[in-house]
Amino acid sequence: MKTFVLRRLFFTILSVIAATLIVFSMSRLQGDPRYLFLASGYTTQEQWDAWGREFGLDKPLVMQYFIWLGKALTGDFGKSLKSGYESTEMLRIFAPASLQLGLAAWVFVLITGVPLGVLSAVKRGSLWDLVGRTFAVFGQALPPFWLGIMLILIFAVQLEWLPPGTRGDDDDSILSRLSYFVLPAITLGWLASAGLMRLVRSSMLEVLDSEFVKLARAKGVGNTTLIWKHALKNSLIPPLTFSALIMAAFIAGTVVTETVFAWPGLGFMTVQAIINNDFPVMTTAVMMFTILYVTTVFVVDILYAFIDPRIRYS
Amino acid sequence: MRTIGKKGRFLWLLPLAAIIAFAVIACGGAPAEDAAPAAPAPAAPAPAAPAQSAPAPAATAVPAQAAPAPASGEGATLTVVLDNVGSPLYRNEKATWPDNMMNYYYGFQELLVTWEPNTAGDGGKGKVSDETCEAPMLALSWEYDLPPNFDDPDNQGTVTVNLRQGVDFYVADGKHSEFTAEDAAWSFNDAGSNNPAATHSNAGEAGDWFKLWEATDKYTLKGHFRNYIADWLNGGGAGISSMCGDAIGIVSKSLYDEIGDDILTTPHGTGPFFVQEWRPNELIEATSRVDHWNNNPNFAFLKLRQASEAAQRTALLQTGQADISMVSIQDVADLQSEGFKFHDGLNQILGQFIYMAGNYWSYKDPQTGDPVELREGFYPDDEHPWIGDPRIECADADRSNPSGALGSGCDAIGFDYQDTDKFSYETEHMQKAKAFREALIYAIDRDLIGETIVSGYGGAIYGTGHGGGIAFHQSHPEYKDKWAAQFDPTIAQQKLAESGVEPGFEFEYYCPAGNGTSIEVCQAVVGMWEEHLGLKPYIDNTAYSSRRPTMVGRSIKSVWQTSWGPNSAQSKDPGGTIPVCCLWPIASAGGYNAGIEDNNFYNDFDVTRIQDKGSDENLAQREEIMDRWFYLKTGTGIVEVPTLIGMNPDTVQDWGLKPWRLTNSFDTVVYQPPQ
Repeated sequence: MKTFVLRRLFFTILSVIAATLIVFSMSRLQGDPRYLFLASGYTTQEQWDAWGREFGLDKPLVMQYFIWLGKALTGDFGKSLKSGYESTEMLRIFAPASLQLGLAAWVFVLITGVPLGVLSAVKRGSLWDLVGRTFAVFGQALPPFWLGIMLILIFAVQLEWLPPGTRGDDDDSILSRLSYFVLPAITLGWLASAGLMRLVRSSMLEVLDSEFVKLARAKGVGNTTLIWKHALKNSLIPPLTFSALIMAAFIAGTVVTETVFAWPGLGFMTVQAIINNDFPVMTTAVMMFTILYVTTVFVVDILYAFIDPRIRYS
Repeated sequence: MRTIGKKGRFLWLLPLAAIIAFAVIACGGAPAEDAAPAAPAPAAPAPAAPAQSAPAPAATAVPAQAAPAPASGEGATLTVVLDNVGSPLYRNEKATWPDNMMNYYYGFQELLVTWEPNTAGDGGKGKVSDETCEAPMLALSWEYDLPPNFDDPDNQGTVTVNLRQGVDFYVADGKHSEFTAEDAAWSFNDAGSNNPAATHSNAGEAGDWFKLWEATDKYTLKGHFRNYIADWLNGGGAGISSMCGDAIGIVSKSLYDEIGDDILTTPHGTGPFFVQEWRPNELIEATSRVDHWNNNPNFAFLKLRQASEAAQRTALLQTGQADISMVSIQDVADLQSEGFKFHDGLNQILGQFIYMAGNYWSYKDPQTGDPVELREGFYPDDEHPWIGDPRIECADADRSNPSGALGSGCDAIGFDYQDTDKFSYETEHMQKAKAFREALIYAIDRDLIGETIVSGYGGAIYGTGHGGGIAFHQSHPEYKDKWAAQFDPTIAQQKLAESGVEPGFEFEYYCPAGNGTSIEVCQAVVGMWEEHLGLKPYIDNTAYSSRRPTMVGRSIKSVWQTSWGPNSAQSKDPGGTIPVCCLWPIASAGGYNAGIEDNNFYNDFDVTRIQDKGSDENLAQREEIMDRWFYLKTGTGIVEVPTLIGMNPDTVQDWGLKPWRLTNSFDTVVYQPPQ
């Protein structure tokens, strides 16, 4: 187990280092970063050189990388060219919104995907199965942009059950604040929920056909215990991996949903940084997403090995 | 299997943990507390007595003045939904467009002068003009000390400005300090008058027109002209200190002395609202002042939300979550049928304009005579057929430019249009490039775009020329029909043939995002070039701010569209300085340029800036200039695109929205809380 963890840790660190190289290289592909700060042609040579020394541009590219890496390790990614905030401060401003929405969508995925998957498998060919598969087909077919606008028109504008967007106000009640999550969480989570539902369904079908389930039935184990305790637990390993990865994806890449619902999160921030050429914020966001994703994969790998002893040392 | 069963018990904890975590994050700490990094102190004052709460950091706290309480909207919040709330930029050295304008249009900062409507003959709506754009705001009066002529570059005169007294700067905590001439002087100097590193939107004007500002006493400001220009305050909407256009906001020198560079993200100002919190690109929460020198809002709080998606802005208005919202043209009819009001006159009209960038024809500094290196965007080759090369000695340059060299490989510099043995507007290459530009201009059906894309809310702009040419709008008194470029596909095709460019030619059409440029109009224009000329333009829709460095740095070389152009809400006053800026080499780190430079423009500026505005001499000179602009055809108007602002009729009783660049004057909203 120790060797397995160390090996995984090594590859995780390697992935992060590779990501830093890619991010640094791409930032330099845009040319001299001084052009982002100063207008060429109207800057004195002294100013130009001073900025060069500040950025370390007077040194070889390899040295520049290590200088950049050294600063990054201390959390110094530079200031946003657009707003003047520290890049890490920008993350602190926008991350809570994405974390909230990501968690809300993740909860929606779990509370819809898992039960529907189980029901669909247990009641194969029944109305429940049809409902589950229809849910999955719509979830995978509807573009989130269109889905979001339709949900707003129906549930906010026409029925007036839910707010159309934004995160609400700080002085709203808890219930009111939670109501703002419903439509964006569904918009963000439906596609992933459909995937999880299909994964749980196929996994359950496989387990329900296995010998130990037949043995349990033969020994007189009740249907509820059999399904929810024995079969589901053993079919959850693939969905566990899937659900962890979608959580990371929700936090990192929710730009469509954030735009439709005026939800100011990390995806929105990153896209704004890209179109504004805000290189410090861009690199900070990409590095954060990389670390988030790689760490999630690492944790899932460890958890996976911990739960399933058959792959522990493989 | 046994092992799996035991460990699997933990799996059920995951959703539970997620729900608990979600509830804690969602309902626990307010995100607002996470997002005010630069605010000097956390406490928010009560709306009725803003200055009595926590004192400003390390500042001399001044007791709040007695002031009348808000009226019917007391305690209420006016919620406005916009497409962009930007970022707080309060160091003038780095205050870039358009975010710098939000500070004063949204009511947080103020300028030297403002706009007051002249209701005579304008249907009560008023127009943006030199007369209406120079009403006192922080400046009460100004007087000039000018030399008998302007031949001596070291003696271009001064302007002395008498400032309003008893005006206070507010920060998030409340009152901070009194506004003085030191604040005003530093605001202009830092924006570029005495700061060559400034990248403020108006750094070019600030540095080119003035060499220094100083406070001669507490309330008297003195500006020393580098190049005297009579239109410096407003300049037909392009000056440096009027609400009518892009200007330099007045910031606090004393706050800068206290907190240094943190001032960049520390909202403050003398306006009728003071910012409590500004979350970039999300939300601005502000409190109404009750002791403002001009106007106290009748509601306690102002909340400006950003919603980038038009459908979301419409939904927020329909569901009552917004009192005022910018909606898309397509939603107007439905909203009106539902009872929503739209601002009378829909008078925020942005003209859409096309620039043919890359025509950099200044090869020596018009002021010093020093050679100017070829601009990074000067590629007069077959890949850029709209860029002409006036250099006579480069007539034999290889326009296929196989090595992709700057200036098509010919590096002749050190002269300008006055050196007729080296420079000519009539070189063969210049003629071909002009023919290509004319082909593009005549292939645009402006009326069709006006009827379809903007649903008749905005009119066509027929005038052709270049650069914010207010006189190119057909409603302007100086406009002449000879400058119109009516849609004519036959002429367009003839011109394309003259240019030597084959149908199927691909080129970039830059359609900026985030500066008021209409992507729908861009798409329509591109479609017409495809349909009538067989060209293959493709749209680049990246943010304006991402490519502004290429304008400041003179490296832009695309045909591009922007919202800065003539429109029917603009000046009705004939005459004045033309052009006011930006079209010749200037000595500043900032300074906008649309991708077109010619020393002829500097000469135009130099001649007209000292003429009596509207005199026969002035008008004749302007007509001659505009004749030349029309001949060169480095730009053209397309259509007016209105900003449509819907209002909740139950809560917004009245609103003195002004015809300025961005939504504005929220302090004039008469708010009625919902019953």
